[in-house]
Amino acid sequence: MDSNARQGSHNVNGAELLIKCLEAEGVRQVWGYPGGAIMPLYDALLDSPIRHYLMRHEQAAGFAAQGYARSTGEVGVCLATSGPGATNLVTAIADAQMDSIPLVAITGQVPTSLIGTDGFQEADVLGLSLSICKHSFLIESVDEIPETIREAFSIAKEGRPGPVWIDFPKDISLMTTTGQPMEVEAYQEEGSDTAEGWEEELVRFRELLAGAQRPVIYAGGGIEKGDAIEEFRAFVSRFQIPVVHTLHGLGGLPGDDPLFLGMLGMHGNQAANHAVQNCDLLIALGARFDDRATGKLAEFAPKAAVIHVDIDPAELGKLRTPTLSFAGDLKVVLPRLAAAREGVLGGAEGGMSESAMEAVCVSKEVGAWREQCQRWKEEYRWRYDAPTEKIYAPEFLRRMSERASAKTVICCDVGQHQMWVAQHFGFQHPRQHLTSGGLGTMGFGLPAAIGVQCGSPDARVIAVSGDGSIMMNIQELATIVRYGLPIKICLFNNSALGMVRQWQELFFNNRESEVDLSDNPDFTKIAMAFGIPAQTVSLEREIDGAIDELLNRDGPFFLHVVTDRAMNVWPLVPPGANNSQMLEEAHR
Amino acid sequence: MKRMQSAYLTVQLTGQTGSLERLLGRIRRRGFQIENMMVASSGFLGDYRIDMRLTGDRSFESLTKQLANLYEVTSIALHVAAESVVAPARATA
Repeated sequence: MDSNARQGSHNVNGAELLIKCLEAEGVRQVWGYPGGAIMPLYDALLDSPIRHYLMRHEQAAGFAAQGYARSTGEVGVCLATSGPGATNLVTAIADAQMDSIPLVAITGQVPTSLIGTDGFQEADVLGLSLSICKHSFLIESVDEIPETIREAFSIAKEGRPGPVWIDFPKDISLMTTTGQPMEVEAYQEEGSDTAEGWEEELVRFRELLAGAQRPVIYAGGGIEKGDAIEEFRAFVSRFQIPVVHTLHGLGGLPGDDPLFLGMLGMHGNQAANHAVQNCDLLIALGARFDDRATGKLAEFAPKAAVIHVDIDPAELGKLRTPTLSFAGDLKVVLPRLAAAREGVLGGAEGGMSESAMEAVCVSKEVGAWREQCQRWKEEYRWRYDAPTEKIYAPEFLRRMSERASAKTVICCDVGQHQMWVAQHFGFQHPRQHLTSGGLGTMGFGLPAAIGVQCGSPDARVIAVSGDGSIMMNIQELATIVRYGLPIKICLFNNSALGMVRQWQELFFNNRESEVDLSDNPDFTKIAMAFGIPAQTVSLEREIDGAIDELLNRDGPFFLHVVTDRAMNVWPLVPPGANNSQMLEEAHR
Repeated sequence: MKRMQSAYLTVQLTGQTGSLERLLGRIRRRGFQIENMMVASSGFLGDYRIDMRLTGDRSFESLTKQLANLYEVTSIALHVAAESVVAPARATA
């Protein structure tokens, strides 16, 4: 450690400068785990107002930073040391890349003289990072630090958000410098410069809309990432077009909105899939035609013209060639699409008149289509006639949803419980629902809940997990206790890796292979050993009392919900089938 | 059988550490093969101009947009070649 740095002169070391740069970016909280190569940064943290949360695994630090970012819309920051610290971060960073989460990950690296020599705790972090993040930097001189941090934050949040990884060699973190943080300019929303133009496209949009008899809006995570919920709801309200959501779009329209048909795709509901498969105009907003949403792509929305709006030009035409596309910020594009009353677009130049636009809302054909969608919604509404006196997870989640407030945030893991949450919890806003969608990472939920609670102390944060997923990051119960976080854990335990077991049952002749977890530990004892009060419930009549505990109890709480091993997630689009070919439970 | 096509790409790249690897990695991951490539300094310290001939059965336009998203790519031009060859289909996941 350079002695000048400690004595308050203008000279600081590289680590201290980097921390000052984080402060200049407005960072108040970080999640991480120390180690040899990042020790100078941890030393500098001692003199910073930035609060560091010590996680018990680097992957969990990445997910906690994601939880913070997903729930606040700000950039999440995580720290780890070189070698194993960095490799443990890989999954969380890849997860952020798949779900477009703004993250800055900083890892210590061995001194530059040791890079490439197979030094102790050396890994080629830049090489590891190349395909799993939006961008990555290796800091090669102390003078680069201010610009690198500024660029990293800018890249993480501009356009389509994503993770940026900075690798920081130890010798550079100890070098003396007179550098200062760069001034953070006001953030310029990408897409704001596209408010002009698109005249021809807007005319075409109105033609397609006016000619449609069976329109559907297919809205994904982009509406939340683009902070365009208000604009989205205004757009839907103006045209009264039925809406289906992807997993990450859920809450874009409130779960109880009459125009909301449900989630589409493999475990979506029949009404949503029938609407998409039969529509003649599909308006895709901030969605990427993911295979879990589309089923067999060649037969997805086969009768539809497609209007695709996305901030990432590379998404347009990647999987489905659109009839019309807008590469832009939904917050800018949606008001323009809905702007007929402003008279900008119509008139004698060939655009549709305002009355023609209005006709979309009231035409006999579209009215009949809306009624058809409502009939599907009624016909395929969820059923909760639990076959036993045991707890049926969908029924549990439905009741919890009915009693949850807008301050409730669900952090979900991955598996059957994840699909049940998506199906049966009526979200009021997408930021109430955090889950690993693109990468589908088991172990996401618990550490993500920690990040949410750190960033939003007033939120009622519930981590919903399964007996497979919880064991992937169960060590974070210690973090919850250490920081006194009032997180509730709702664990559905079916003594199996339920989603894999279900697929083996349905598609591998019921040959179960390595899915049995009947020797699970006693989860309530585990929770209590960490210092978290815990309870087990297994009967239907215990549901309401258990939900009371989750929603009203102060402090952390671990609810262990024993469920039936044989339960499957229905309905289901089999692999290779199109979304019209959903399988339903046999007794229906 | 899928129809393989070829195209020429000209890419200008800033010379950050790892930028060339990142470009080549993305071309591979998106399912294209590099048939030949010439890399030259573009006049600025560490910046490159890369001329390459690619083959693949996916959309070159999509690839171009995916490469344009790379932070180090400052410009990119695509020229789809007139000739095409038929080759066995690549296995799909």
